[in-house]
Parts: sequence; C-alpha cells; structure tokens
Amino acid sequence: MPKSTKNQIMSALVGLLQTKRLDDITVTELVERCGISRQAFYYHFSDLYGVVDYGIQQLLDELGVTDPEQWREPLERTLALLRENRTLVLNVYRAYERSYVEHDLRRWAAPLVEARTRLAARGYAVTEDQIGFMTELLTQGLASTVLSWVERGMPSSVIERLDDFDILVGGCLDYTMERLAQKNGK
Amino acid sequence: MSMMNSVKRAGFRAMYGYLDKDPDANIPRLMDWVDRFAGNGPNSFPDQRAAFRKVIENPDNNWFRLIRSMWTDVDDEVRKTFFENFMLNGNLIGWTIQEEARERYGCNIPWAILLDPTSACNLHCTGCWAAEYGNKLNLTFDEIDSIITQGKELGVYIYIYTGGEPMVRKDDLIALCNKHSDCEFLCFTNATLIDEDFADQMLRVKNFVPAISVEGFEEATDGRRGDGVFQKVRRAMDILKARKLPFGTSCCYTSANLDSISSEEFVDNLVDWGAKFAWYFHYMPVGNDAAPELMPSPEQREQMYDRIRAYRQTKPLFVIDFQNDGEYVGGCIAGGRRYLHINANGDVDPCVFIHYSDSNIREKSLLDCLRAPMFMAYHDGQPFNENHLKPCPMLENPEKLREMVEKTGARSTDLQSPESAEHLCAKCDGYAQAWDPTAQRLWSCGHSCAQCGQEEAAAQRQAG
Repeated sequence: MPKSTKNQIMSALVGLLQTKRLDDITVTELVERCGISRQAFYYHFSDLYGVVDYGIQQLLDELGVTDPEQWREPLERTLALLRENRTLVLNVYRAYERSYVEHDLRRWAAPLVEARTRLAARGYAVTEDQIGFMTELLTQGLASTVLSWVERGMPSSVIERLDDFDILVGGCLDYTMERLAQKNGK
Repeated sequence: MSMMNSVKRAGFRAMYGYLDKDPDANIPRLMDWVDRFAGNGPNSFPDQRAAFRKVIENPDNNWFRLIRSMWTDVDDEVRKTFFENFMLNGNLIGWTIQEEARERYGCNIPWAILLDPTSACNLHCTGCWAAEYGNKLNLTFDEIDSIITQGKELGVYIYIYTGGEPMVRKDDLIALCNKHSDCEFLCFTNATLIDEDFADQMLRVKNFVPAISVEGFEEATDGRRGDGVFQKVRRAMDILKARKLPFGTSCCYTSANLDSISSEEFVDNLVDWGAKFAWYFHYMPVGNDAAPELMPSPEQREQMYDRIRAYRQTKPLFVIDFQNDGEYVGGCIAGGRRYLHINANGDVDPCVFIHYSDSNIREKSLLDCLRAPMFMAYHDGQPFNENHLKPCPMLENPEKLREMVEKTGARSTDLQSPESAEHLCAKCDGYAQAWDPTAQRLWSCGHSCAQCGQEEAAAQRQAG
C-alpha cells in the first residue's frame, strides 16, 4: 500500500516535470494531482527532492549490473533512457545543485565501474585498496563525462562514441593492473 | 545562515566525527573541545567545566557511562540525527536565533514548543489533565506544520507532543518528523500504541524520541492507567530497545507514590529497561476535580530533592525534577521563556499546567501570541521568586498567577470544566506556606555552599 502511494506520487511528479522545472513545482499542486493530502505526501517524503531521489533509486535498482562482461549494456541503456526523457531530466537538473547531481551520478556509476574493474583485476595480484582507488578514479571520470553531456543537452554523438570509451577504459585498466601486479611483486 | 553559525556547524560536525570514530578514547577529551569554545570570559563557567572534566575523564563515572551508552545502545543514524537536531540546531544554532529575536521583539522566545496534536486518548487515567479537554479536539497536520515553520524562524527546533495521547495521530507525527527533518521531536506517551511498525517508522525518520509515562511498578501503573497497561509499556520499551531507539520516561510524583517512584530500585529498573532520561513532575492540583491531598508534603518534596541529586551523581540516566531543579534554568521556564504549550483547541497556554490564555494560534501568529498580555506578564514577572526552589507562579507563588490572570483578562482554556484562577490558586496557598521554610533552608544551604565554592575559587585565581 505505501509503496503504491510512493509510486503514485513519483508518477505525478514525472508528469509535472514534462512542462515545469522542479523548483517551480509545489507539494500542494503535486498532491492535488495525486488526489492525496499533504500529510500523506510528507509521511513518505521530506520534500520534492526526496521524490526525485526515490525515482533515481528505483531506476538504479532496475539497471543493476548482473554481468560485468556486459557492463556496456546498462551504461548504454541509462544514457538512452536519460535522452528519451530529455525534458524531464533537464527540468530536474536545472533546479538541482550541481553537487547533488554529481552525487547521484557517482552512485549510479560506482557499481558499474567496480564490476568492470574487478573483471580487469582477475588473475592479477592487486590489493582491495588498489581496486578501490581505480574504481573511484574511473567513477569520477564517468560521472563527470555524463554530467557535461547532460549540460550540453545530451547529443546522440556521445552514445555513438561509447565504443571508444569502452576501449579506453579496458586498455587503461589492463595496463594498470599489470603494472600494479608487477609493483606488488617486488 | 550567519557566518558564526556556519563556523559552529562545521566545528560541531568535526567534533562529532571525532567522537564517533573512537568514543572510548574521545569522550574524555570532549571537554578540550568545550573549553576551546567556552573561552575564559566571566560567563564561561570555569568551575563547572572543571568539575565536569573531572567526572567525564573517569570511565566508571555515571555521566561517562550514559554518554558511552549513546554509542552502544543507540542506532548510528539516530544518534547522529540527535546530535545534529537537538544539540546543534536546537541549542547551538537555535539559541543564537532565539537571542536575536528576544532582543528584536522584547518578548520571551521559547527553546521548545509543547503541543497537543489531539485531546483524544486511548486510556482513561485518573487525574489526567488530558481528560479535561474532552476527546474530540485536534490540531490539523497543516496547523502543526505552520506552528513548526513559524517556530523555526524564531530558532525553535525542539517540539514536544503532549495530549491527549499523541500517538493516536501516528501517521501525522511521522509525516511531521519527515517534513521537519532538522528538528527533534519528543513525545509524552502512554506507549501502548508503540508497535513494531511504528518503531520501524521511527527508525526511518530518526528524529522522534518518546518519553513514556510510568507511575511506578506494575500495580501503581495499572492502578491509575488500567489493567495490563504496565505490560504493554514494558513491551513497547522492548520493541524500542531491540531497534536501538532511544527513549526516556515521565513520572508524576504524588504524596501517594513518591516513595516508590523515587526509590533506588525503581530508578535502577528504568536503567535496565533502557531509559536514557527520566523526567519527574510534581503533582499539580489543576482542574475542578483535582485531589489536592495528592500534593507531596514538604518532607516528601525534600526527600525528592535529595534523591534526584544523588541519582544524578550515580546513575547512568539523565534525571530531572521539574519542580526542584529551577536553579539550573533560572526558575520558571514557562510563558515562552523556554517553552509554551498549545492545546488541541489551538489555545496558547503559558504552561502545560496553567490553562489561562488570551491567545489562540488559529487567530494569531506565534510571535503575536508571545507578545500578547499574558505572555508579556510572564516575561515581566520572571523569575517569580529569587528562590528557585519556589519557581512556579501557581504552586509556590499563587498570588502571582491570580495577579497575572486578573491583570491580563486571560480566560480558562479548560474546555471541559473551566476553573477560575482563584479556585486553582486557593488550593496552593496552604501548600506554598508549608513549603516555604524548607525551601528557604535548602536554598540558603545549597546556594551559599555553591557561593562559597565560587568565592574560594575566585580567591584562588586571584592568589594564583
């Protein structure tokens, strides 16, 4: 029951975001659209950002990495999804502080990158610390790349360039793991 | 936020991070941080800080054990929220905003607001003031939301639910915690409506702390509150403890239960049950049906005075007796000086026990209520007595309440059975007279001793 109220609130917000920026939307108009009370809204969420957060979490759960060999696929799917919902994404993005968006993007990218890094580390004598460091570095790289892509209005050319990105990350990881293992062996 | 508040926030968070990392090693060093903040000014309490440093550096000390238990017994996120909302917002940050407002508006600005979400209760206890309001009044979600929003503008981050049984409005309370996630909410409750689901919601919102009413052991609690209530209370405490949710207790002492409710055995039980604080309230003969014979005798009240002070030095429990601890807060804290009470009809009362008002929150802003004649009479009259063992304008100084009600034309907000100020105060005249000699003796002794200590310390400082 509560989950369906939460989803109902989220869908209504998604509807409103087709035409308005997040900071122009009020809780009162959102609850009117849902046909629920303000109390019911606040039972579930502290504010509208909470709804966005919940939406992102739902999305992340759906996009969860199952197979690290296939890491490109969820990456591609996310970018395509963001692009399909361009108006909505920009209406949220423009109301948010950049640091929040970065945080969300890192939260999305971290498990993907970690899975990819672990795949590359297989068979090499590298430490957990080193895997963590590489994951962090590449997560930041991926998150900022996506962020500037959103800022530029999400041109399709970036999605087409994912092949190159994949090669870059793969090569970079393979080389680094090899050098780290050598260093650890000494 | 002002520059100073940003600095406080950053400093406080750094301190918390430091404590959180290694509480055992860092609790004793807490006073280094406090000393740095306090400086060496005339109002920096150097002797008190030195005394507190002595106790906190000893791991066997009750205060050390109480603070330490915040790490062993309380959920990490709930503890962090408590430090942030209660300590930082409610005190460090809130205080600055309150002081500015006091200066600007020339009236009392509270530290906490007590409010009744509802007059309804699922129990029917003898002598409860909630019963006097009848069972049908409610503050709506939007009204409470507005009170909190107005309160925050004046620097108030602490909200305490009274009633009625506030938990009758469970979903609203959770929604308010969620909406005002920067505030700390406390709730007087009979605890019978605390179940697993509600406790899970408490864990989700993290800023709700119950103060559970107990009358003593099983027989006493069930005697006043009804059969089986004590077992329900114990069950609620277990549910809270299992989720590492902090709670305290609220105990009303009367001439009939004082001995057992203030016994060491009972206090040890509170600690075992998991309570972190115990608030004691003197029975007040409020209402046309009150039983003045339940007011403690001077000997009993003195016994309470001694016992609570002894527990504060020995038990890992934050114990306060609101009638005998006026010396720590400069006497009466009602009338908005540190708190006020809004009933389920919207009447803004100066105190949970004093139901005379000239303001209703449905008609005026919170600030205008604080500037109305009745609250200004409190503002101008406080402290009502230089002896803080006689803090109350009703119980120990009944002529003061008569005078304020007369002067301001405040009316009784008791909707069930309005009681005249004369009728109420007449019940206190004899009590006040009887308590006076004991109060004077305890005050001059307790007070001049503290004075001697200060003089000695001052002399030492001069000599050194």
